[in-house]
Amino acid sequence: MMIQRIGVLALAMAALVAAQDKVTVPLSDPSQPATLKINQVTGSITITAGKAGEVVVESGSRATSRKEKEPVAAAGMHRIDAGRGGMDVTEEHNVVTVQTGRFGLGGNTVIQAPANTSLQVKTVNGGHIEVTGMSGEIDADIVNGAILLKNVSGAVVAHSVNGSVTVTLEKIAADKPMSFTTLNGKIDVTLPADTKARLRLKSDRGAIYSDFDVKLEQDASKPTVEEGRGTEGKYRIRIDKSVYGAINGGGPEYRFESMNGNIVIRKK
Amino acid sequence: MMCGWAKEQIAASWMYTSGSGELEPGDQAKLRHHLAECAECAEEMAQLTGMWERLADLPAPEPGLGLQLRWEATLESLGGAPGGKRRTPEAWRFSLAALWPQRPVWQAGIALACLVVGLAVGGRWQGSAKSEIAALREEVANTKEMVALSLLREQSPSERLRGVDYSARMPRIEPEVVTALIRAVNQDTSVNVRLAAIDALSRASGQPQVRRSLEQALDRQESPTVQAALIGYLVETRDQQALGALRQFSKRPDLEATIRERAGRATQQLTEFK
Repeated sequence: MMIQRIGVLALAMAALVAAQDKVTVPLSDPSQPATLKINQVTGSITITAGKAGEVVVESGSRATSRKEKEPVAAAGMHRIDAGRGGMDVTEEHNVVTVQTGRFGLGGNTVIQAPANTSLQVKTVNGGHIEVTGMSGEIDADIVNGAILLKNVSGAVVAHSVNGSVTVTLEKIAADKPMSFTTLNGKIDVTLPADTKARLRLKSDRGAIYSDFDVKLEQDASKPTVEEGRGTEGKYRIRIDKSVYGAINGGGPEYRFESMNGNIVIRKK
Repeated sequence: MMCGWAKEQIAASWMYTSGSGELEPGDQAKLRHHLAECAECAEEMAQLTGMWERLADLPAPEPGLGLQLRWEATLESLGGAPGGKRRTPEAWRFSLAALWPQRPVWQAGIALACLVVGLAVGGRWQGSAKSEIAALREEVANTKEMVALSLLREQSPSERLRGVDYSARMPRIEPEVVTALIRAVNQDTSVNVRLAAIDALSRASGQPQVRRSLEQALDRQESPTVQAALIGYLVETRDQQALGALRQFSKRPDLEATIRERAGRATQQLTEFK
């Protein structure tokens, strides 16, 4: 069993500490897809597709990113402790677990991982989760912030409490269910035109728009379909409760749920 | 005593006189002697004789013209083309009759054997087919249950969602799946899986323990999204027992304003259902 554990607590090289912590972790088996897990309390997480076989993690604590003022007494000196940065990256059987910031509370973290890496990303406060160009499964969860997934492929499960969920899917993994939910935000998802799915739509206080031809299932909730085209040339479906509809003949279930926001499902 | 015997013999005697019955010569003389002595039996004999004679006088019904035409047409169709080599019905009858044993004992034996074989085969086939179908159904249900349970334990939230979806499509949610779904509502790391599990469990709302479990789950939830979904579920069940859980939940100090407002509205709605 190969375990690589890299703890970076910069004790020397004070010049580096003032900037960011950066770690490159090689995967145990570069030929196999990896899983990346990151769970932090504060700060944004940005993940992009990088080189195969390695994961690069950069963490700049929120404190250092705001450029703490140096006390007058320290004028002309350089800092030799780790500041509020620091991170802990563990790799075991292609599963990379990242803890950043002091006590694992996190900071603004930037990660590059092989494109087919599956992601399990969680953060609570201050910022956003942004993922670009990844093609594994994505599980993104944030409390106070937005989720932005750009040009991703595969299957997405995303949830924000007080933020929007915006996703552009290039390709989808057939027969895998997806879920996009938020309490106080809007959902905007772009799917490939040939996506086959059964949509479960629910917005308590918002409206739902789509330019897909959604075949609504006959249900007790009886949604009202507005005649004609509304704004942005989109078809409008106004509903009270959750309702099911199929696109391109139906397929795995995709859940779209927002309590207080609009839902837009776009055709690419 | 003699009369009983004589009455039995009267019918036999009539059969005999009409040429189709059998009567021992001794019995015939004995019957005639008894009829001469016993007025009752003589009268019965006379009555029966009269009836038989009247029956014999009834005119035989003449076949209608239609019947004759149909009969001729049937004969024609069976006869086939003139000069054809088709075997006549008589020939068929002959060959089949040759195969059939003449002795009644054998005939009865064959009939009995057919009956026994039929009952045995039919019974076994029906029984085994029924039990096979039942076993197959149970096997499919067990497999589905196993698949749902194993998917719910998967690392990937998408796979766990698939497990929830799978269990929601089962015709009946088995108790083990219900337990797994309740566990998912309480413990799953993904809010989306929790939401899907609540939806799947709404199909099992008829079970009071499911409603109680989800009431208890409300107080444990930290995610406002899941809290909102559970409140929605409790209102839909219209279960008055949920009022206590909702009132207690509303007192929690860490609630988001929208959730507190929603819990208040739900309490009001449930009270109105009373």
